[in-house]
Amino acid sequence: MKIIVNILATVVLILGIAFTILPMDTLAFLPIGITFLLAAISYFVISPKKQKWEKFILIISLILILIVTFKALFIKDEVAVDKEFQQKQTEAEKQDIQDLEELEDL
Amino acid sequence: MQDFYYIYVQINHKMKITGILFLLIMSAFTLSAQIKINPNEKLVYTASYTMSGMLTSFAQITLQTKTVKTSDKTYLNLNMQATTFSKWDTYFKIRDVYESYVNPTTLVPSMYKRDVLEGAYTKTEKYIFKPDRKTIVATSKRKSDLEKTNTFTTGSSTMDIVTALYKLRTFDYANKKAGDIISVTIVFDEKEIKASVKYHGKEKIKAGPLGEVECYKISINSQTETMKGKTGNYIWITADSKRIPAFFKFQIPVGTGQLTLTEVK
Repeated sequence: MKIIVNILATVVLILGIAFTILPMDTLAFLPIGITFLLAAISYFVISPKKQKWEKFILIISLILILIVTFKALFIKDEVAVDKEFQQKQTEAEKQDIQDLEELEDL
Repeated sequence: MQDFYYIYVQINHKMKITGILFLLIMSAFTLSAQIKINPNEKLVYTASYTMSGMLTSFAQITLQTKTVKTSDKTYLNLNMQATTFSKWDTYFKIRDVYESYVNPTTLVPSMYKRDVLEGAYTKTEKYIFKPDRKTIVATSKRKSDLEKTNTFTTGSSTMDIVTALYKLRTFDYANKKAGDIISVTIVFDEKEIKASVKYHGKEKIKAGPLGEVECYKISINSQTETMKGKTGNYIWITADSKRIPAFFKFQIPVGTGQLTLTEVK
């Protein structure tokens, strides 16, 4: 039982780390929360003998929670200035006017 | 990890802006004489995905209008842009533009354009609405394929999705009863799609810079694969003369997508 819970916690922890690295915002709390819960069950409920791995997962989970919280609070969503995209839009508008004038001549 | 990321990207891909815009604008109404679209309007939204109350924002959607003049006529340019936030650009870059040139008074479309860049996928599309209002000349190009031109006929009230969104705003909801349904037809991917729009009555919602506002709540449904069997696609439009789409909510395979208003100009 303990082994299964630990494996599950480890797998979800990897997912949690991935979600923390990727710009998943608070969605990352889902795998991290599950990891924390599984590790806590393993550490406090199942195992009478405390082990390092569960403790490690618990600590990592807490660190990830802090990182995600920090990112959610302090990193703002911004759109990069895309000059190539803007230039393309300007050129497209000229072509559009030309197309509309051709349509008017029909 | 790769698998989960792939699933997430796929979900995101499904709700990628083509999908978002498509889901949100599947309707059109008879133009009301009282409501006019401001020719110099800019609405900015944040597109996000939520699951179990957790949320990730991934793109900015901008709806903008402006007047465009040719030597003979004046058009209203309805422009919708979708741009991923810079944090997402490395993983999945989106630069989509959907726009329509319409008659400023009647909102009858003359030209519709779509320029899509979603990751490695690109597509451009242009519809010229012939003056008879029943013929569309479509030019499209996907990725590195050759440009294709196709001429097809539609109903006289068929419109593109951008025009449909704006027409949706001009409808006289004050004279509608909750539960009223209106059937409409739009053209997307060179196909006519029948859609129905249901009016659900008024609701007060928090709409970013507008604060708490009273809105008309409507839902959209269609017979397309994207929308089939789904009724959880809602739009809240402010119940005032501006008729600003204040909030969008739509169902996706896992979780919910939403557009929240962040800026009004």
